[in-house]
Amino acid sequence: MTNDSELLRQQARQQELKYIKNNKRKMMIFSILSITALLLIWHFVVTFRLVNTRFLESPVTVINTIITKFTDINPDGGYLHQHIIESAKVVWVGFLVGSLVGIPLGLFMGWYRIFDHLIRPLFEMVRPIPALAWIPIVLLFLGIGVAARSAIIFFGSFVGIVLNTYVGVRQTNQVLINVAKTCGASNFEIFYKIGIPSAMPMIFTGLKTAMGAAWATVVAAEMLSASKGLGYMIQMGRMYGEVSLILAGIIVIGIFGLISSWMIGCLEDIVLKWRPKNHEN
Amino acid sequence: MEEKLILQAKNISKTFFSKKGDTEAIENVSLNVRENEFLVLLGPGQCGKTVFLNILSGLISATSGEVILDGKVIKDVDTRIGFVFQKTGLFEWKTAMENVELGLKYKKMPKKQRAENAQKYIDLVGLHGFENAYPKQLSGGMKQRVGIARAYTANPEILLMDEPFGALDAQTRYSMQEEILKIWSQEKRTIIFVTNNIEEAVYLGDRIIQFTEQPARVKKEYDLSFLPRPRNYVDEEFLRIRTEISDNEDLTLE
Amino acid sequence: MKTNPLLKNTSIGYKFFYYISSTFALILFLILWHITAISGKTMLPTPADTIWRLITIWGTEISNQPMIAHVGMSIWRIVSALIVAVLFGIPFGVAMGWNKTFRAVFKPIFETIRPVPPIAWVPLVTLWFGTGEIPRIIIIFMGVLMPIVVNSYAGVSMVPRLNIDVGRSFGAKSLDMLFDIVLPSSLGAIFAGVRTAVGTGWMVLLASEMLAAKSGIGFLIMQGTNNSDLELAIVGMVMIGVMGALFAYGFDYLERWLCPWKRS
Repeated sequence: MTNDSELLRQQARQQELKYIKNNKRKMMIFSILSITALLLIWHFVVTFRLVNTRFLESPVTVINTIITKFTDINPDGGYLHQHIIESAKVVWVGFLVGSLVGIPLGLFMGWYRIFDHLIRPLFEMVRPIPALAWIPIVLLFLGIGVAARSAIIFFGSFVGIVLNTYVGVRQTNQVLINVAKTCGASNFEIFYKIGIPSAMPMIFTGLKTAMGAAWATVVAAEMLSASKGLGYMIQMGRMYGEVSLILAGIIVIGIFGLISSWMIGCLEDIVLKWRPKNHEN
Repeated sequence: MEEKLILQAKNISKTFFSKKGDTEAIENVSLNVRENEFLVLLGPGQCGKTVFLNILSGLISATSGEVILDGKVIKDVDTRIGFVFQKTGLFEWKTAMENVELGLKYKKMPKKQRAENAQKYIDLVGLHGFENAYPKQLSGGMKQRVGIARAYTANPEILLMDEPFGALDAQTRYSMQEEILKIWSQEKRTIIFVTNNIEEAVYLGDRIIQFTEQPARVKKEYDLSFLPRPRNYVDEEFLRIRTEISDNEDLTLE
Repeated sequence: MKTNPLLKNTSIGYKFFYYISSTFALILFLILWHITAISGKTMLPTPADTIWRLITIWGTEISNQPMIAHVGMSIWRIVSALIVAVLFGIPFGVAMGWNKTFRAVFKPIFETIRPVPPIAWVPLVTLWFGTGEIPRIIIIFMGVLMPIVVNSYAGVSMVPRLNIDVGRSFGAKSLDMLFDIVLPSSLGAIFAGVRTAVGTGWMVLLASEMLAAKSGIGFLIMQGTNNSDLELAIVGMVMIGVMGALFAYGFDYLERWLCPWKRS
């Protein structure tokens, strides 16, 4: 009897696990097929001259362009790595200044009423203005250059960081605050030891959003006024009618956007070790 | 007392498989449910009663064993079996009325007829005047009343109730227990009621089936049909049965 | 959401305090602005001049078009792009969350395109479609599409298990399940997506108008910058801020109207 039911269970177990595995494999195959199909269609549309190469180049050509661009300065006057470094520099300077200003500001606004009252009206005024709209003011004070573009990135990342930090610190669990109060902690101590750690997950959400916004903004800023950078490079690609350069630029921008958010993800894993992974909610 | 069997569970076992290891939730449970009885499944928290109820309803499938309704094995959810969920499971975007109409809506009953049917049960659970309220505007007890009305309106043969009063405060819980008996006596249906509360079980059940700690097995069956209704919590016989069950209960740290 | 009650207070004295400190901060800001402007080191106009320009600009023409036409042009561009994106993006995202095969086929493609910022498509789209109104709307469309699809997808794939179980046990068919349960359950997430999309939309609109356009708020900002007419540029900034805020309020309103159960 027990042997019988044990046998039944083993069968059921194998069946279920096999089903899950098969399903996963099926989905995986679909995914690989779909990407391959996309690349093939792209490739053959170009090689069979269904589309003029003025408008589209094949994926092979684009990858070639990416590789040769490291050693070829034409047509835009910069190597690919120079453009990448230029864009990354602008992004990271703007982003870091945005975090260094935004996180403390959000924390203080969230915790101390007086900061909230003094700064929030101004913040609410600034909040709906897209980063690019700051260009005239930034040009006025900083001229044209890395500093100006970083300042625009700053505006692009700052708002999201402040908002998320603010919400994060406000969501501090009241029970924890009460416990600390009962133990005789001062308001600043509670803020420092409970408020800030509680806000951490939201701060990282803010940083991730901000990083996305920073890459989006840098491309626009470089297209508008720059003589280097990935945004500048794709703009030049259009000026000289080189589709492969535009496509190469788009791919590189995508890759570096991913790398940047991955870096923040890593930082999050290090800082928020105490938080279980794959947590719910 | 020879009564018609409406639902049978035969040798139900359920094991959850995962990479970390198997969890055996239910081990070889068999039971018979008689028509129109109030059957209580009693067991310590997390013992697998909810899983068992989900298997009866067809929401999840058993690893082995079968559920037989009116003489036929059921494989999937069946609208002849209604469900009252522990967390109410009301749709927050629907009014009390629309929530109650749910089962009829999915049966494609015309709107007017639907409203008439639903109104009857809304009145029965004492929610007259709250037809257009959204769940957010209702108290915990009222929400569960909507849940009960919803299950009845779909007109099932059997009602499964999964710790429906578990989240309510003691006061509301007592009044809901009386309420459910009142409804049951007016609208005779088979009820299978899951709880971890012994007093509640003794107060409500015609029959109590006691489950063991996980994995759930049938530990003992108590026939309480001799105990007259309405029952009294401090009645001598009531207390005796309560103690008997309680002594038999597996100790569990909830 | 639990908030720190230290921060919550609705008494009259508190409100008074709030208005005083807010006004104080605003006045301080205007004074600093004024001092910077009259110090003469930059070409920054004074706040008074700017506000005066903001009022009188409605009676003037910029590049042969009245102010209202520029604002209207920007609104038309973003609204039309948003409508197309909503009509296409929500069904697409929902289908991705609802159907496993659809998800397996389209999600990888989507994930590949996603990290590319919408503005990076500008050169390609201009190359393909030229510089008219349609290409501009296409670019804005691409910018607003992502958040709408992503949130619709996330909303649908995170519908609580309980809601699905309730539907099943009450006999919901596949279509009932989708339209009566899954969609309402994910409406909040979809709305959040549209709201994010509006923010992205303003950004992309601005970029496209600044890069190449003869009308619109972005054009005004660029015109002001290039002609050293800082008043005009700042008026443009203010207008885009005001429009952004109005749109945000509008969407809150729309959500409350569409989701009556969320009102307390």
